[in-house]
Amino acid sequence: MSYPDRISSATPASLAKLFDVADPPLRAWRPEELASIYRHQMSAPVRFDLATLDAAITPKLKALAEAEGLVLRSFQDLLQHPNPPVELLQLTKEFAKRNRSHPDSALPQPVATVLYFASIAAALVRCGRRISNLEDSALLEGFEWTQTQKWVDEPTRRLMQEGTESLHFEERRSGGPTRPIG
Amino acid sequence: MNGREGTPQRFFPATRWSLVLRAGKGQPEDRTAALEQLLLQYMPALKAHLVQKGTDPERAEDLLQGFISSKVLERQLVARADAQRGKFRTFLLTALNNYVRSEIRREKTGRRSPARLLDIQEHPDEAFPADGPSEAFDVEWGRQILARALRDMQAECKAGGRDDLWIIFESRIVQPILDEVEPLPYETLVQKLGLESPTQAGNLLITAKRMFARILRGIMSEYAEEEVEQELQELRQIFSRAHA
Repeated sequence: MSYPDRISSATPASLAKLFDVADPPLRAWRPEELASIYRHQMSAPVRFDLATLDAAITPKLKALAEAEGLVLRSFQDLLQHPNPPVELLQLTKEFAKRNRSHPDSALPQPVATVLYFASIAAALVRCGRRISNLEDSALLEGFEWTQTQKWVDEPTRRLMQEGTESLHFEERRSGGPTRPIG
Repeated sequence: MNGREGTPQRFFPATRWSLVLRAGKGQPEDRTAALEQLLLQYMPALKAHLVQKGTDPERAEDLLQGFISSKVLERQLVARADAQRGKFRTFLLTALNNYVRSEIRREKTGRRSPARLLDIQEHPDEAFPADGPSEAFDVEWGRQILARALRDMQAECKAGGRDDLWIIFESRIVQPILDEVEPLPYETLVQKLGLESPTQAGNLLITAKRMFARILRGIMSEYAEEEVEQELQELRQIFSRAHA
């Protein structure tokens, strides 16, 4: 029997398991587990984690992380640095995005989501750059959601607050919601 | 966003609605091919929807042919689809529902004329339920997507000389799900594929699952520009609660 025929005769409940392969059901993480994983991720070496995106960028990562005397060892260093390299923030955003949708990701989805928004907020606040194509409303919603997560640490909450203020400031300056520029 | 404690789903947009765009606004030759593929993919789901709403299968077939010829082809329905305004399948389903309702109205009006008196018993009480989610449509649509994902994965494994990935995926995942058989033990797969260890077989299965996930998402992104993750979760939920 061909696949269409076999799939036609299978029950929907059994076929749901095929969707599970592509998108495993979310595990219900406890806040203290998420807090612990988030802390661990924040202290993880930027260079090693981001190199999982593409091994070919390893030398570039090293150069970026050490540029101009910066010592960016961890994600925490990167996100809290007053003048972080925007390329590293872009790579962090991509890393978070991939981990969030990857079937075998070691990062729980909420943690990847916070990292995703933290990289966008850091680029907005510290570099004055927008690294996301999302509309203001979606960014504001994400920043706000992050601040409501009890397991998120104080520096990240502050960053999200600053990101929110930065968007509101841009909105007032331009007379309306700002649109993504690339 | 799925509530305060959930994770926001819609922040991770995929970037293409390519098949729908090509079928609606592509170059003429490409448009025809894309439209053909699109219709081929959606026809079984649209028919299942009509049948679930109480239309008999033969009449469903006639209505679908009429819908395709007068709405999809003549009036270039697909060109009016707008990714910003929602899911393509919702757009298509709404257009079909409207078409069917207007056909039923037209036929009823026609039957009142003396010339159509003899047809009056053909569909005496036919009515078409209001719009709303259609489980039959969604389930049939999901079946089409899954069948295509499996076919594409098998073809990709073959083309790339990775039959090992397909064999492991088929014997550990596909056959147990579709044929309700036990997954082939890793030890058997080690022997069959000349692997070093069950761990290696397990790693190959992880790679194969990733491949399936990528292919399935790729197919879905042709039909849902910004909502691939959400679509995937919705389909999983629909299949989990659907009746056999």
